[in-house]
Amino acid sequence: MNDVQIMMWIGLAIFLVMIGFLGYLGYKKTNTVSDFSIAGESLGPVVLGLAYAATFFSASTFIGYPGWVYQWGFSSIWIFLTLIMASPLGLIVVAKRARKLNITQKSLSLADWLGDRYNSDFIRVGTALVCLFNIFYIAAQFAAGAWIFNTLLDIPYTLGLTLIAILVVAYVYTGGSFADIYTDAAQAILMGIMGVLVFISVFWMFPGGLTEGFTSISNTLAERDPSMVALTNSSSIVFYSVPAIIGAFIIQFAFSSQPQLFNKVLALKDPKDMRKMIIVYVITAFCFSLVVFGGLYASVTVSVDEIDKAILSYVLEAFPPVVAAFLGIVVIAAAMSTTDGIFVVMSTLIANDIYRKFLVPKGYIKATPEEADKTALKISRYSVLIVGVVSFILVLNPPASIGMFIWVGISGVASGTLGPLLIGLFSPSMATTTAAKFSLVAGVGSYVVILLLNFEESTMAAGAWAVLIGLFTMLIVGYFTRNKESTLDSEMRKSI
Amino acid sequence: INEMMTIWLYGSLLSIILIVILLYVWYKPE
Repeated sequence: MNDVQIMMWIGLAIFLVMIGFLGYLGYKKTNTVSDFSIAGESLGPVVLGLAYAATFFSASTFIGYPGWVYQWGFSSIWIFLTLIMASPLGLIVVAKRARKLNITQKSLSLADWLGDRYNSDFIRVGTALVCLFNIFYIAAQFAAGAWIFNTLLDIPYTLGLTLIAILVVAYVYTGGSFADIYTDAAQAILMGIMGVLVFISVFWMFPGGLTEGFTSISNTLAERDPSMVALTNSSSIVFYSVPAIIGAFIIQFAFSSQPQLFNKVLALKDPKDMRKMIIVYVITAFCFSLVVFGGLYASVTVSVDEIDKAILSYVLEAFPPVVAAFLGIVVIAAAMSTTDGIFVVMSTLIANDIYRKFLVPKGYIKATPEEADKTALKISRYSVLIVGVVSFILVLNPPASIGMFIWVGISGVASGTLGPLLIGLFSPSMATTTAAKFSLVAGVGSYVVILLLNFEESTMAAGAWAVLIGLFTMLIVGYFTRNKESTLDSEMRKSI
Repeated sequence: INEMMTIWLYGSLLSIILIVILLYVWYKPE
């Protein structure tokens, strides 16, 4: 066992104690289905801003994005700008009114919010069913965690996978969204430290200051291949053309309302604190995103056989072993902080969106509201177990087109829901139930078609075009059906 | 440095300014 491994084991032990303690705190606070889903609307802006950032940024931020920059050069730094410009703007546009409307609406998730806003079970259950595809996203994050265990600690892949699955299931099962948000906030601090550390290593890895360091990298890469310093790189899988760059900005704008992020907005105790929450998130996101520069430094200092190892190799080169061990824990933290949020969404959609708000009121299952509330909390917890087991099986037996299923969960949800969400917030007269139904079907449908036809190489740009189709469908159908069936009464209109 | 780093520098500054302005004018707590 080498130094990195010894330190990573010690770090993991500390990390596990911390997660266990925060999970226990969450358990003490979870008594109702609202506690389980949106932390009983009781949390402050700092912890939620940190949790929002940690949920947004997954293991792919710390492994995949630096790998892109390592492989395709400066053009992949566009991802940094999409993350600190498009996503915060998306959150700013949505957060204030969405939280405010929920003071009276009292919804527990994105699917629930849209179902309540449009007074439609089709929207509620339809959105929930598309969100179910996020189980493949959980599987992908579990796989990333198992990969890092295997790469850094030589733990067999299946054992690493079992460890991470049991850990996440245990604290979400007991502590619900409280545990999700508390652990995310702690993980965000680790991730932020890592991003800043990687960025400032330019000062000792390259001669001279910041400008000299970057200039020498730029010159070295330009000599190797001029496309490494261009604004687009035709070999890149994401930033190969101007439309592809625009698409990446559009989809990152839409990603700010992913269900596992939207419920963090609903969890804020005082809507007036929204500004503080967003500032905390933007600062944190900026620190996380700095890690992509590790890929740039790696491109002129190390050589790796697979691009996912670029950042690991660079950190081993540029830092003492303790930092490499820290990076291993950060990647696991990044995977867990995204996964636990999706677990909460999945269990909410089964227990609340489908059982409590659809099956019981419609009479498919007989229960008084009080009984339904109690049963929903139980279903929430059992759902976490079921989702954990299914994800575990999916990682070990991935279906042939698992990559496509992952993206339906991420971009499919965004393309079906952005239209109803934005118009529902900003244009009450055009926010008709008919328009929302058309937009949901058109957005998700067009995304699946674009994926199947494989007509856009970048999965981000593919999502962006489907988002636009969903949004335009909402606008066009909303215009033709406006006012005939407005979904908000006049008093509500005045208040938003 | 080069075109991309220039865009990164000014783009980052622009987005921070934009976010601050939007939060200041639209998200007034009172």
